[in-house]
Amino acid sequence: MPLRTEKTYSKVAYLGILGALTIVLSIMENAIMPALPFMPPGAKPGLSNIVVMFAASTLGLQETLLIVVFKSLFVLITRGGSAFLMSISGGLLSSLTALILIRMDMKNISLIGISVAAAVVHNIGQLLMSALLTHTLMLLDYLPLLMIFGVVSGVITGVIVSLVIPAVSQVQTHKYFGGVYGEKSK
Amino acid sequence: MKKLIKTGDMILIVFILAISLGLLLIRLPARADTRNVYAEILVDGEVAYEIDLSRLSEERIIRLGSCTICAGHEGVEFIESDCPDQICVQSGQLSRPGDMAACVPNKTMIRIVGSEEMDAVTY
Repeated sequence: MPLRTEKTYSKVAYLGILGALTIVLSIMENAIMPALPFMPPGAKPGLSNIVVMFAASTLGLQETLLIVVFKSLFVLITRGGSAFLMSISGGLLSSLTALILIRMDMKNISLIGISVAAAVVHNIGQLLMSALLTHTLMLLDYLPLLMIFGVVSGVITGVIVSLVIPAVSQVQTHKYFGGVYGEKSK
Repeated sequence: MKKLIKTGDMILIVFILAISLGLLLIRLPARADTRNVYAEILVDGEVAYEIDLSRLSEERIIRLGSCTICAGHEGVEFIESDCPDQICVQSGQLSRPGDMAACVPNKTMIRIVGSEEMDAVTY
């Protein structure tokens, strides 16, 4: 039995596309909105979370974490070590939250609620890391504004993901992808 | 258009907004007059400078490692930094109590403190 099958190559290509997408969204975020006026510096709409949420819903734990780490490594290369730490802390916490919530499969919560929770956790995680890096609790003053912002960006991200997933699953019959891996039918 | 939002979502959102509003109310900074405000500059968690902005007659430039901070009568701001993100520089000028800016890679922060928030000035 061959070690690498056609499915493996398809998986690598698919994840590569998702990873590239995450990075492009991340670049876009940073280019368009370097700093919102009244928000803490570094608050981002979280567009790259669209891909993370997508992976968490249609793929599995490993793929999602891979995308998060991939994005954070890109941040490491382009924006430095402290940005990397903030990205990975927020990203890991939020993706784990999303994965757990999706796994729990609660009837009253849709992808939008999960996305909101993930976005808020992402912001909180980043804020905590920045407090750790600067050795003060001063930046925590931004917590309420960040949470509100997290709700807004979570809703936007959630709506987009909810629209993207049905659209993508129509493409899954393409032989090149051999079906979306481990897709949980929602 | 298919209904995307469920009840649990709304409850969660309201819950989060309630918490954040609560936090906001607790921490509402005293928007005092700008007569007795001063800027705190922290490096690595320790206060390095406290500058009374109202007493400044001319602009004062402070170089802390790789960040350059300019303090004047109107406010304080980062004018230069070697960090890749430049978020600190883009934060602009801080003048009111509660305003703050930070350069995380350099662990440098500026915060404007109003006279009602502190009991005494020791510097």
